[in-house]
Amino acid sequence: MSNTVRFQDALPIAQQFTQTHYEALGQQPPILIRDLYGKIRLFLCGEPTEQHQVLATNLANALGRFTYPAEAIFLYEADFFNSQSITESPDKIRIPGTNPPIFLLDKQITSQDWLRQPIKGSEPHPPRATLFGIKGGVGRSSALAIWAWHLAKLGKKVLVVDLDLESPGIGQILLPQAQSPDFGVVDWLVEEAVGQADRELLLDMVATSPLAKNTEGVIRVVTAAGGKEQDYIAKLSRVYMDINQEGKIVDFAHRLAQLLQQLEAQEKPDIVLLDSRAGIHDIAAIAITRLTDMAFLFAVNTPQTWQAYRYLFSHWQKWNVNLATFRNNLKIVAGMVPELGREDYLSRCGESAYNLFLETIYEETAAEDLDTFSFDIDDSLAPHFPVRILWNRIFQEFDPQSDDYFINNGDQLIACYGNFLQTATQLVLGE
Amino acid sequence: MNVDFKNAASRHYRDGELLYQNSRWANADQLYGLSAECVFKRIIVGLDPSGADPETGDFKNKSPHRKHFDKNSQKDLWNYFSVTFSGRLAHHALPNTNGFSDWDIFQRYVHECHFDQQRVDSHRMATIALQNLLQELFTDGVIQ
Repeated sequence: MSNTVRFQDALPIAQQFTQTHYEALGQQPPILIRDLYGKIRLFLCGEPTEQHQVLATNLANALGRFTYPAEAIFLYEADFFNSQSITESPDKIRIPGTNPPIFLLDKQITSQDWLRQPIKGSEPHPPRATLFGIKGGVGRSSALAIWAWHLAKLGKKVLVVDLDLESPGIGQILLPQAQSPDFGVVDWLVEEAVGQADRELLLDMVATSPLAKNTEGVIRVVTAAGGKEQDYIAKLSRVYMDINQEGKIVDFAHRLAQLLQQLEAQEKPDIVLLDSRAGIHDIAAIAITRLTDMAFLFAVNTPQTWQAYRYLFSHWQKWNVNLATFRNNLKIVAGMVPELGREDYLSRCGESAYNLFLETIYEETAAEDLDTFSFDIDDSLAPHFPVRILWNRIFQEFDPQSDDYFINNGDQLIACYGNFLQTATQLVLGE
Repeated sequence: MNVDFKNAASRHYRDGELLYQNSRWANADQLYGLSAECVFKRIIVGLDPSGADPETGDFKNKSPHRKHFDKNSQKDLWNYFSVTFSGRLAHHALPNTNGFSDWDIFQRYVHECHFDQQRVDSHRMATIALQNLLQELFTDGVIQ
């Protein structure tokens, strides 16, 4: 058996080492810093000691490639310009099960937002809902378009924001090309980075969808790119940035929060629908855990879907930070439920979803304990219990802008989307 | 004497703070500029270790890294760093604008009346931002 230390071995080794030598390492709880390469160092308050030199050598040997030379493996408070940014980092996590506590500061290039806390604005915001699918092609954008129309029929002012920047789509579904706004989300982000996201830009970022023309409501749409965009990739390649505004770092999540706040102040919608991109990505993380009131997680009953969700859910469960702030706002949606064998499919899908939650974020509970986050498999109010969207071949070529689309297809829409429309509206608006 | 950009950046900053707290604007301002210059050079050494002489710690002769804050943008350190290294900072970013476009080592000769707190504050904030950036790059493992 090889002694090679692989990425996934390093943190447990470092944790074990720290537990073993806890007292020798200082008065304050040590912080394991895992850097962008997965290399681990220890941040220690207090002064270096001779014993530390011995321990450092031992740890360096134990961690192989995933650390630094012995003389660089322990980091001391006095070596830092701003040690508080380490000790008080909002990303500092207590490693579960460690007592006395050991902390981890996991430095990542992306995906840090899955564990960060929800962003509260200075003002209350209108209800927001995010539609997400861990894998694409599950009917998310179609569902969003139909839901927007349904809400408009109820007399609502709906704001739709396309956050699927890598694969924009909802804009084309809701707006004819000629009516696209001049600017999109990526424009706001690159202009804002140089302090130029002005009122004029914001006004030119929103257009009205003709889908709601025969309703009491309105659908206003913010697209990923403007209608006359010539250089999308140049902008897209620059948007996922934290910016440095006069010495203050504004991270991407807060920039997105600002965008939403400004749009909401301008449009004053009754509800905001966020079309998230598929997959495990920062912008999805932000749209699900940090900015929204309700996240609809689309799924089809395939092993790859549940495995992908498992990566995400077990990450939440493992670190268990801020999970309680959004776990009640998750709802599985079974998209594209087949016509044949429908009830069997739904039953299997429901069971898969239940197992996902049970094995990860549902808590173990005694029967009489009502406060734990746990639900029965058949509880229709449970986050795992799928809302259903039925597949019908008429939705294969989805063209809601065609004349009388909603009149001609009204029956199928209700049959296929009725459960989703009713449940989603109830969950977000309480109506 | 060997070059140690990190220590130099730190001592210039700390002494700048002492002067700042005593409203000694002109010399505080000078030290913040020197600190910032050293921060940039420490980062550059981290990103391009082969550019430094291992014996002296300084950049090699004729190294393009031998720049300072200069009104001439072709010679200017901030501009050079921004053009050469911006894409190598992982997900970190330089401040949006050159915080030392109005700073020059020549100012060590001028009358102190040219310096007020507002001027110094802008250089102080810019230096702090750069020091924080250096720390982040080090903690992230982007530089050693």
